[in-house]
Amino acid sequence: MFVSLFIFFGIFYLTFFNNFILVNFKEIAPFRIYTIFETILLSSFFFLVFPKRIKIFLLSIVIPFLLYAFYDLKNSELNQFDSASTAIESLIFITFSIIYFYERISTMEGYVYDSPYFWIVFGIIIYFSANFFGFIVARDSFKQVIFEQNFKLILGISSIIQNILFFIAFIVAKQQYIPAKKGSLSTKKPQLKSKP
Amino acid sequence: MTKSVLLDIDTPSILLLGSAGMLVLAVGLVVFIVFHQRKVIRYQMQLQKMEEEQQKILLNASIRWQEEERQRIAADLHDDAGPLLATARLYLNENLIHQEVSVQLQSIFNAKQIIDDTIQLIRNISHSLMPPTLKNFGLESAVNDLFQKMNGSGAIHASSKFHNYRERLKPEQELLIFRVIQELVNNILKHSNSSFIRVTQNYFEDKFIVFIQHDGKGLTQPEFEKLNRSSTGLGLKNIQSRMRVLHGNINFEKDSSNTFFKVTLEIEAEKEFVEE
Repeated sequence: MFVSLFIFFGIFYLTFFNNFILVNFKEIAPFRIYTIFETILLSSFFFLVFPKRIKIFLLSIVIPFLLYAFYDLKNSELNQFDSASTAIESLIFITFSIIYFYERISTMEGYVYDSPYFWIVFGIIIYFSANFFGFIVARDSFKQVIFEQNFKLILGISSIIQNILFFIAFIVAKQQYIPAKKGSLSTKKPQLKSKP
Repeated sequence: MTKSVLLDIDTPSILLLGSAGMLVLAVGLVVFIVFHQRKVIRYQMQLQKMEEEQQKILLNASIRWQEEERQRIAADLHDDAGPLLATARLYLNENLIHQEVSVQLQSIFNAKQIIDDTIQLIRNISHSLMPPTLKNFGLESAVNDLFQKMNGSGAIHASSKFHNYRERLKPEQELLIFRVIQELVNNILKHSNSSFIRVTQNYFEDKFIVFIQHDGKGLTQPEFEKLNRSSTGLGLKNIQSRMRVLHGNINFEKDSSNTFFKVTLEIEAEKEFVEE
């Protein structure tokens, strides 16, 4: 659990700085490199959270995507928005989030919102769902003023919501001091120590 | 030029609408999951509560049955054995008063007879608690013995056929199965108005199966479950609690020909250890 939360701490800061650079300095290159880092970090998180049988599925999706993202980064103009990569990335993580929710419903390990992972996945699905259309059209429309304003607005709001949800995840995780088993989809509820 | 203008107008609105739509979908999905899970967990808790209540009813029935059995034994001892022994005591007291040998002999003979009756009575009570045929010869003989007594009355024809009973089961399991059969047969006699009862035993996939068929008025599984949940039907609750101890299933059904009622007992057989 601590490893996955540590990964999230990384995503939290990276997302913040990356969006800050994109919005304020209009530099797309860091955003493109960040797509690869973000995929690796988020995949590591889902890899730790998912049960064994889904891990293979995750790897079979993420590895080809990373190869494509590297290829795209090398062969296209660096300061052009990587719409294809980010759109595919969004679809991948929206799918993983839905798989996570499906697994949580199937296993019935307590209430879904008692787990910090739920709030993290909630944040991920919100961020990628909100920005999915923006990522698709950004390549051709990023230079337009109206688009840029709207894109910034959506990116900013979704990032804020995502970070609020991550914050809730940290609070929920703090309340639970029994770490979940590796591969389990939920964490156990805290147990009160008996008085001597 | 026209295309560029259109793109300028449409792209931001597409972006806003699409993003809003996706966001609503994502939030809707999560809200649905949370509410669905809450609903399922609430349903499971309700189910668990019902199960606990059912167990409580069964436990109460079992305690009530034990109390009734104790009362019956106490009544047998108090009403029958008590007066008999008191009479025997009176006859023996006669010996202290009357010194005539013929009177003394008569009273000793009478006392002996009464003591013999008392012994028989206590034996009957003991047999009702643990049938000796079951203990010594097994389930098949005990059922046959029970049916022989029933057939003696001429009101009903009862028969049994054990197809695969070469190895005996554990004594406690045999006693529980016998009690279940006894209770079921007793219920058939009391409520069904049937002319025959047939008990058949067999094994199916390592499970000990007993079929009880009769041609009277019987129960179906939903009726049995309904009676089990109600406060009445002590006998049926005892059957259910015994089946739970046996880790077995009981199923009440109407025969496919609609002329018979059938009760099926399905039990995980625990065979008695036999030293070679």
